[in-house]
Amino acid sequence: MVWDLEKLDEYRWQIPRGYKPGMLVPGLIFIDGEELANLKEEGQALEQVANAACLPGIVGFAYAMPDIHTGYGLPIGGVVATKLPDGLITPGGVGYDINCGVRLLATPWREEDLEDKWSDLADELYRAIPSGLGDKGGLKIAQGDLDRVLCQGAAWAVEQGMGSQEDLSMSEEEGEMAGADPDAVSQRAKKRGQGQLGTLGSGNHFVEVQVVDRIYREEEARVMGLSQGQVVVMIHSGSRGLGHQVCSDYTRRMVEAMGRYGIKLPDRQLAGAPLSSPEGKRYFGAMVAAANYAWANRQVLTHRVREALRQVMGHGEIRVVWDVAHNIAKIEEHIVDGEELKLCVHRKGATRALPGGHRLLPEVYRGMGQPVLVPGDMGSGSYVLVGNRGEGFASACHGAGRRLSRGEAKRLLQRDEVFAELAEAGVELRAASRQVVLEEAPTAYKDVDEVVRISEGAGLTRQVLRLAPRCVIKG
Amino acid sequence: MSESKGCRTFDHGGDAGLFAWGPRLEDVFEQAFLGLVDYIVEGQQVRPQEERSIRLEAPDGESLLVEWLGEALFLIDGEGWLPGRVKVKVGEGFSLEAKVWGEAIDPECHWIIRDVKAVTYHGSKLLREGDAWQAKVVLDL
Repeated sequence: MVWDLEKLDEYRWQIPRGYKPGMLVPGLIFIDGEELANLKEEGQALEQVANAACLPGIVGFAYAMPDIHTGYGLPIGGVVATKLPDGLITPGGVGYDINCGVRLLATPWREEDLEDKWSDLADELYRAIPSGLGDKGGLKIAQGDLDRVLCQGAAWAVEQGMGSQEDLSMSEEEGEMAGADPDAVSQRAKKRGQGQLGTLGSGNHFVEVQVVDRIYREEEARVMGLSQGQVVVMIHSGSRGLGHQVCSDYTRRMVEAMGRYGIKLPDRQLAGAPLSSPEGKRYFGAMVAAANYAWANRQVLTHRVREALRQVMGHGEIRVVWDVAHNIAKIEEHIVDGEELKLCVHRKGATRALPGGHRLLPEVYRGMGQPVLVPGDMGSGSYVLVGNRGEGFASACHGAGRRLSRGEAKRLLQRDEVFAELAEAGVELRAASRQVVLEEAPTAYKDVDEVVRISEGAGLTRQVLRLAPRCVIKG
Repeated sequence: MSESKGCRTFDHGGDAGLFAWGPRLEDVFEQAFLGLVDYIVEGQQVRPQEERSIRLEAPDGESLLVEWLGEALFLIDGEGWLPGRVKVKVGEGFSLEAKVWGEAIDPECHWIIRDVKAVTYHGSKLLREGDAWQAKVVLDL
């Protein structure tokens, strides 16, 4: 494949509309020349951007964020928006782990307060946070309560005493997205979700205790209540089996429905239906329900983290700094070619990044813009950024992006070396599966520093601070 | 493909895929199913203590394959039940009937090594190549 991309500037590369028949808009990738060369060599991720540009009703560009890598349907890092009422909604544009996302908690403790307690804290967190695999450990909830979780999201957990109103106000959608339709969630999905609330899951999901190790913008850090040496906790998890089943159920239905609507797409994984159609509405209601399940899950995990921290450190206020979704479709208003449009914005492995002044932001963040949480790999750092100019339907990167496939990581890396490398970096690791440790090793990931540098260079975000991991809990 | 039937994994971006082959269409369905279970639990012993029946219909062969493998994920993640043996009979149109033997997941002797979120439609293939059937799917991990 010869890729002839048009360079708009140092960090913007366009796939012209003429690249493939059926493209309705050009593709636009936020990346630098060096990373682009790697993408071209691999080829598939760029092809997936071009495929996404064929979605009926798409407006603007088919965007890809700086951490773009090959997925299925939409690439990871993909952002596409379709125009209401008849634009397409596609489960493949959201992904299987609906509302997989990241939450950041600020603790009152400093690095030196934990000097000899890191190992105890790692043990306590590992005990408190079940992976949910095999031996479950999720909350026991009644069937009727599950429907309330699907409607109320994190607010349900707060109602059960697992958090406060302040937690909710520091979350995208306040942890409770409107429009959930629990009846559109299959019994199978509910069965999978029933016992998994409050569990982490496996793969790239984690709970990490981190330390603020570098501040780039003092004022924004101060607004978030974060300072050098402060101990924070990052939670990365999603909607577990319930969300995976919702995506599977509706992808199958959309594959069937596409013929009825006369829709043809280059990849069946992009199968979808007009948002105004019965199938589109039903998927949206089920997806919102799954998103709320994920917010409830991160709230229950927050509660479990608080309990574990207090067990080791004693009393202290542990505050939610922010909570972002990075696999979701939302109805948003954006200006495209000078016209304000109501759009269905799909973000798959991409974070919403509202610029300062946006009405959807809580007052405390309205001046500076929305916090954007970007986890790195478990051996290096993670970042806190803020939304900047609002380009790409106000979106930004969501993580480091993989460099090696899981298979390559397993073949190329030695388990003992990975553990030694983490120990050397001063990271206490607790993991349910040693196999996952290998597949999630730092060398399997791209350099997150590069991803956030490109995001800043492109004007999508401003770098606020960097976090270094100290305890890593993995499923 | 030295064996007449089997299943192996391949890399797909950050994820992985399954490639199954065999002389009969039934073989690839069985091999892909067992290959998926093995990817999740890596060679752990499963006793065929209980029998379950599955019937499926789909609009085409690839969809039938994706849905069939989705059954394995649901048994493990939704039912807490681990399949160990399987017998498939492919029917008219795009349908199948299967019997699966396995046991409830026992945390004392079973451990889920990988969390496979889903079987995707992306690049799924089911075709006859010479004397053999082949199936390919990409997994979301």
